[in-house]
Amino acid sequence: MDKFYLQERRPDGEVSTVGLFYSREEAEEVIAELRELPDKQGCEYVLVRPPE
Amino acid sequence: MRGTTPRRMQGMADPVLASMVHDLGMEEVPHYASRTGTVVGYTQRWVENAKFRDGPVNPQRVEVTDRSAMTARIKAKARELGADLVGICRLTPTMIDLGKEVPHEFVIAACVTEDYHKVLEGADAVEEEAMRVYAACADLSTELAAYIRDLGYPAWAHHNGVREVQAIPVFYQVGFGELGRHGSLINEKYGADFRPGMVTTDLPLDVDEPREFGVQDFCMNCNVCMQNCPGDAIPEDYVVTDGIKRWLIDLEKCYPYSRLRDEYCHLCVDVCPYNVRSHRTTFKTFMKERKRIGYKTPKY
Repeated sequence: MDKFYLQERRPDGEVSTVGLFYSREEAEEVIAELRELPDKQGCEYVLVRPPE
Repeated sequence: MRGTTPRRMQGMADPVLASMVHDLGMEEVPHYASRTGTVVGYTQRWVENAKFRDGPVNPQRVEVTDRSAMTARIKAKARELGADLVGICRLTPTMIDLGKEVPHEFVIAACVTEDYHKVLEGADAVEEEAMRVYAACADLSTELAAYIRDLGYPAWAHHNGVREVQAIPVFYQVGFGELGRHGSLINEKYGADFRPGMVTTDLPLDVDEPREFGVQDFCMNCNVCMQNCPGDAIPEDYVVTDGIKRWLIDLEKCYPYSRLRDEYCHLCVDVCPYNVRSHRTTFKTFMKERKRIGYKTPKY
């Protein structure tokens, strides 16, 4: 399976890991939900592959 | 208040597990299909409790003139209902499932501890004990929520049968412990051998604070859970979420042992050296057996 850490990059520069996801599709669904939240406006979401 | 933390679904609703089950040419999760009647009975209890997680609020509200006295009363009630630890904090969006709404200000966290000695009786005994305690937590939180509604304040129970609130961020915030490498919260007395029941409410209460007593530093050097995991699912590296270290379990490696076979797997928690404080003799006996079959054991 493809694995990705989803990182939330906040406007103040803090980087917080949302979780580990097992397909790009699964992670993208979570990103879409996060982007709907008023509190998360201004955050960027980045997928990072875990180290082998 | 709307939640911001994703929750992985259980069973075939989890796309990772569903995909692995289908790859085996099966239609249901082998572990769940092989559960004993006792375990199924416990799961039915929390399903039944879910129907009563909310209910009418007494219109004759008891006014809270002394918050600290009311807090003591609620904690005493939770203990009377079977809680071994009780704590309270303000509810925040990070404690709530992504996109779910919980219209309350506070969360009361209760935990019920498991009988650690079951590790010497085998995997079925450990699973039955876990499910017994989950059912006890469902009973406790349902009754505590009803008690608070009877005082005139809205309250929802959260447990295995129905929940929007996540135990680990709440348990951290109320000071039960710190997150361990195995992914469960560790208390200095009970290790991670406890299960959650929670109540959200608007009843005015005093809040507890997080406590840190060196768990994450200990986990950085211990690695016993990692080295006893049959699936090699516990990572060396951690990530950081909201300033707290998290070791994210690789489910693709965990599920073959915890879901795709009949036997229950709770080894990462059972081998944790934090069990030694409350269960020294049992822990040493259990770890001697782990060593005999080739796994790393700590020097205690």
